Amino acid sequence: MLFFSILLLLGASILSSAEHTSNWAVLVSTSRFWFNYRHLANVLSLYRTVKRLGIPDSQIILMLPDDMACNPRNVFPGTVYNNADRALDLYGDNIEVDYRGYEVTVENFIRLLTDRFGDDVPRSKRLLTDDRSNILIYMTGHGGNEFLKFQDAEEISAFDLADAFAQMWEKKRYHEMLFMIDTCQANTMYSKFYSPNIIATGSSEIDESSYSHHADNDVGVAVIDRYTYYNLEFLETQVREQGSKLNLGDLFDSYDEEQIHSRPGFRYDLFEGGAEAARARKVMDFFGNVQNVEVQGEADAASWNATSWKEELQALQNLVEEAQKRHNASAPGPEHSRAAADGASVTFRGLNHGVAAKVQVENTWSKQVMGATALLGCAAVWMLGSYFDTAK
Amino acid sequence: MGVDKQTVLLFAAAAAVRLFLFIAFPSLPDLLTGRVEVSTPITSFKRLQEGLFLYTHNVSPYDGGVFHQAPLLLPIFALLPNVSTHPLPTAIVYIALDLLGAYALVRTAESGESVTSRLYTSPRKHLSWSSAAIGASFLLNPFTIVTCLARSTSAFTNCAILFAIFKATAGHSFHLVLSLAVASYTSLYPILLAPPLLILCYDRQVRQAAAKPTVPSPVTFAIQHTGGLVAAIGCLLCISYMLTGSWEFIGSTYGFHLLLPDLTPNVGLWWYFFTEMFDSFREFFLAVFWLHMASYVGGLTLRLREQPLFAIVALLGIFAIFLPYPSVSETAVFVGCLSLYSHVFPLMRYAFLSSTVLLYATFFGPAFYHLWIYAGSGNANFFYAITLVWSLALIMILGDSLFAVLRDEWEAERPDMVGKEVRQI
Repeated sequence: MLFFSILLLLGASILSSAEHTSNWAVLVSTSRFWFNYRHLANVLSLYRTVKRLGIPDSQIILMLPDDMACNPRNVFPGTVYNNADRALDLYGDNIEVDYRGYEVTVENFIRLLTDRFGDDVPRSKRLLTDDRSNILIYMTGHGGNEFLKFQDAEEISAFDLADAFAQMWEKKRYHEMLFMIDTCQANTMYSKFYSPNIIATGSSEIDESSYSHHADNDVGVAVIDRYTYYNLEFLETQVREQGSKLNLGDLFDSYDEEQIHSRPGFRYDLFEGGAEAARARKVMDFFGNVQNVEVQGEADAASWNATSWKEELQALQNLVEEAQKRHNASAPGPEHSRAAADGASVTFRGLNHGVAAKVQVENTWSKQVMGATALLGCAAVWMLGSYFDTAK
Repeated sequence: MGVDKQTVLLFAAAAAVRLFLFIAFPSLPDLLTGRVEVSTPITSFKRLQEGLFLYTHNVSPYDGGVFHQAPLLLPIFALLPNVSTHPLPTAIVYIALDLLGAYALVRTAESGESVTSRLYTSPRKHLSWSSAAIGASFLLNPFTIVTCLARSTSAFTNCAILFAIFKATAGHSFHLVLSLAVASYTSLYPILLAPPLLILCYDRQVRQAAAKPTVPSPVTFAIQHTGGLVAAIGCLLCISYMLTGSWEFIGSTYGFHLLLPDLTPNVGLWWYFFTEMFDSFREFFLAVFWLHMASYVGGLTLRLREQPLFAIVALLGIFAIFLPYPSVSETAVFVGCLSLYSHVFPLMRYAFLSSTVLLYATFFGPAFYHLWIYAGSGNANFFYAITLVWSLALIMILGDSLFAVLRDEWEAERPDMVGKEVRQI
């Protein structure tokens, strides 16, 4: 009997999958210079979205390689817009950039993923994930066939990225990962992954460019890319609250190649359960910060004892009532003794010190009389003095 | 009384000018009260109003940390109507203070002490200005007018100092002690004028005693007067204690002078130093700066033993430069008293240069302050540079006048050197 129940328990635990317990986001833009405004706008838009959906700044790594808001060419200084209507300032006054300017390099990015840092690197610059963390990795910039350009100076290849993810898996640094990339020939970037539990999506196939959506005539440059624009449209209009049950399949189905002007791709083969399980994952599992609750023993009714739970609750209630009775019994005692001490109060002389005095216009006449007396006294002393002086 | 028609006319003109400015430009007093060259944290009229409000509302005036002036000023201003609705009575009080100070200065000039002290008579005494001219150099001095308009409480100190000088030259010990006590009570620094003032009073009393049998012994004189001074200041402090109800006013007034907690810019030298001072050195440098200022008293009094009035004037110049919170009012009283020695002006070597530098600093000070604070295109160094130029001008005037007085003394011994170039080594 015992062996059978144990087997049942084991079976139940294998079938129920472990849920993720934290959500992280790594949002990387890799482009520098004013004409790549849209890449920073892409990243800042997603930053805003994941913050809106609940991921805190401490769990977002935001990498901005250039400063568009304070760029001398920015006609609207201190702002970054992702739409020509300029209805929303992405820069705002509450963003936390973790890697900025020349800190956004391939080396730093790989170190971030694999956590190969010295002791002096602050926590805000580290990806402190564990084996139950879901990570959203979003990258945007200029890319090509199996490479992504960082800062117009170096490149990261798809192999490097795949190896970094493999290290993460070995070090148990993620539970499930959603990799999203918006560059030219983006889908080549995820083609080399080989670690499990990664869902990948990119904006365009090999030999295909990804396009910007529209430009703002006053800012002077393109402000958002098409792939990201339609992702945002789905996320901002459909995923309205943190309890949203929409899943990745809905998000991916919303892509319209006619509008994106390129063919977005998806990779499900690394994911346990394939395309079905991957598309069934909720959008909030990666973009938000909602963790599910596991109720222990739910699968096996035999191990869940309803009566013992009720008994424990009753015992707790009895304890609380006893404590309250004890408190009420002892309370009047000390209060009485305190009141007796207050009866003998100390009187203050002159202006009260230590006690807040009531500010009111009182005793003005007495003050003026006092003042006049002091002045007259001084004058009298002066007169006396003149008598003494001239008498000499 | 001894005041002639010229002096009366002068007083009337000065009062008229001040009244005119008060009435014709009603916003001018408030504007000047806000200027750092005129109002310092220890003399500002705005702070006095703040303290007055607290005083009349049953709160200790020193509670706010804003008011740092002597407590006895509060009953005086409590008697006057509210200055925002009736500015004229306050204006009249300040004009009266200016006139009283000028009266004391005129009487000092008339006593002839500046040209003929007990131990020395200047060979140039015929060159000294008339007492009306000396009064005018104080009353019609723009710095004095500005101080009066800004209703700075240093007007009380100036008036008390001038009265102390007058009473010392008249030999009236009681009044001297009282005036000096009031001056020291309102601002801390006039107590340093006690040694030369006492010597001046002693000299005058000896001169007067030539007609009477009793000549006071110096030691007894010193002890009596110091004791009187201490008693007078003690009385004033006791009255203040009764007015405010505790001794905390000492920390807020004299402690404020000594410890320099407020580093608002002014025309002095201290604020800039102390903005960049490390805390561990603060007390040391405060002690050094105060000792420096106090150290001139002994030297000047001893060297100018024969002309104690000039020792006082030179010390007033020292104070105008080296006080923790100086303003143009100290310069005003210094320049006014300096005109007592107009007979040595021809001996000054670069009077034109020093007066020009003073004018230059007077005009550029507000300009650079504006650049620093309002336009934001300058920084503190601009304004501090101008205050350094201002101090330089005052030092030049002081040094040159000291040279002139000493040369005058020297020419009394060596009449053959009159008119010859002298090189100071």
